[in-house]
Amino acid sequence: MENTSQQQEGEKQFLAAYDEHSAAIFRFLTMKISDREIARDLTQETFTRAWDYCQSSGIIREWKPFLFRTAYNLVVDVYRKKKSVSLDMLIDDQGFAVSDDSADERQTIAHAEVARVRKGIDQLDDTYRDIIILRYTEDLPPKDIARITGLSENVVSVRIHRGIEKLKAILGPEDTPRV
Amino acid sequence: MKFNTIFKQDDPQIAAKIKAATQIRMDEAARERTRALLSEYVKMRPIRADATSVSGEPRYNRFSEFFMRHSMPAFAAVLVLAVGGGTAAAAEGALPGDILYPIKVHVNEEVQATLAFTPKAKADWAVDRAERRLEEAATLAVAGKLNDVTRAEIDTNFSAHLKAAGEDGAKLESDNDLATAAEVQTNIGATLRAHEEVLGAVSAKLSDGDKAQVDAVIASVHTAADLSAEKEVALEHKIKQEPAERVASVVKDKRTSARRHIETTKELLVRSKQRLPAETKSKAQAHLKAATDAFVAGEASDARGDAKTAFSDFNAALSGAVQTDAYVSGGLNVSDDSKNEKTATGTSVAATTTTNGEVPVIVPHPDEYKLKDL
Repeated sequence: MENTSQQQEGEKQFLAAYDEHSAAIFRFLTMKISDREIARDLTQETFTRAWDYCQSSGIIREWKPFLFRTAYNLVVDVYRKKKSVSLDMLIDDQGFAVSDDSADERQTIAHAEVARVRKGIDQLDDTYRDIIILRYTEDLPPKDIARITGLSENVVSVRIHRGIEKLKAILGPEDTPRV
Repeated sequence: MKFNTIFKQDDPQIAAKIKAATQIRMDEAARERTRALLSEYVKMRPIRADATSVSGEPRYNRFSEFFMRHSMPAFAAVLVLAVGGGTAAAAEGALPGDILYPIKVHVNEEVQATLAFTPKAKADWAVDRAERRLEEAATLAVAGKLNDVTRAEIDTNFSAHLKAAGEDGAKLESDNDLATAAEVQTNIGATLRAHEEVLGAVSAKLSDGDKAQVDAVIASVHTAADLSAEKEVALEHKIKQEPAERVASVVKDKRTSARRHIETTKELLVRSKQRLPAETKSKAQAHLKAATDAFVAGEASDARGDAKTAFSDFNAALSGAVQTDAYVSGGLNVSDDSKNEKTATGTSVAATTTTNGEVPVIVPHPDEYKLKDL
């Protein structure tokens, strides 16, 4: 009886985690491997692995960093990046759209500027790109990014800082503030 | 002071622009299909009766451990309950001849092996285990406790771990994942060569009886390293026969891997330089320099379109970085102040730890990460 209850509670939390984090995991994987079909498969794989962990060892209380770490490992261990596709291509491609979540930002940031920033992010080295995306797109704190990437918190903080500096340098002086 | 305290002020304008520029979403139908599949999946694989209760203590610390490559896995929680947490933890520091040593090798490490999902992860863990055996041999030798019995136990386990790593590598090769198979083989070879060197240095300082025991271990390592080198060459040859496009793709992966290993090894050297004997430090720096030179040569080969030579160069760079890493770890293991630097897993780390048990990292000036400065 107790195990049935544990199973039900586990299922409930697992599916709630899917509802809450699948979009972010898919977004991260898509930007990491530049292939929406494979990103979709790997998103599913990320969640099945998370469940396998639950099944063997119990509950996961910090789902977001756990799932990102699993997804990150999956890319490193299983899938090797085969091609590089610009963010513009990924976002404009069939099956993708700019998230409703970004409507507010897009109202205040002109489309041309968004496109320019995308191109800038495309030019960043992976060393900085992954960390910048985890920090600013996914709002993860350096402590969680450190757990996800296997780096120290200090190294993550340094790379965030340097990544932003590099992005600003790529964007150049015409990157004037907009309100 | 931690760097994140210096950089805690995010620039809100650039943060908003990055967020706006990177919004991608899965189409709703695909998202729902995946959800339905997962819903079925969790019913097919019910939570085991012996899994930790959902009402248990917060698992965050265990989560950290789960993800630390060399730490005790969360799966061990179940076994910890069986053998007692203190016993399992104490076993991690055990050496051949100790009563808890079988727990370390046949329980703790086997449990951790279950966490490796892919053939590469399995092979990497098998190599880590082989490396642990060699570090144990060096530790015992320094303490004058390496004898026929303890050496036989190390030899048996060492051979079993290498065999397992080789089988995982062969599986990758049969799956036609030649690049990963080559990386596994490089890891095996470089790790063995590093420990052969560490054991050689240990042997040089011992009296005849103890020296003979270490030399016997070195002979096993040497033979295994030679076999590994042959496999490495064969795999490299096979990869170079692939279509040009495929070779170029492998070169790109190899470059990334080499660069990452060089960076992490440099960080390890920076962290460890105060605790390494001068001779070890000097040799490690020379190894890393050779790896960096190979990397630079790889860049040049790649730039002139010579993918096959670039592959060899980047492979040499990767091998050199892995070898340096293993050499530094092995050197720390037998350094005079190693007693203060051993973690529960037997891996040497910085002398102090934070209150939550995580290893602090002394971050050098950011410029120190640049390859050109190595």
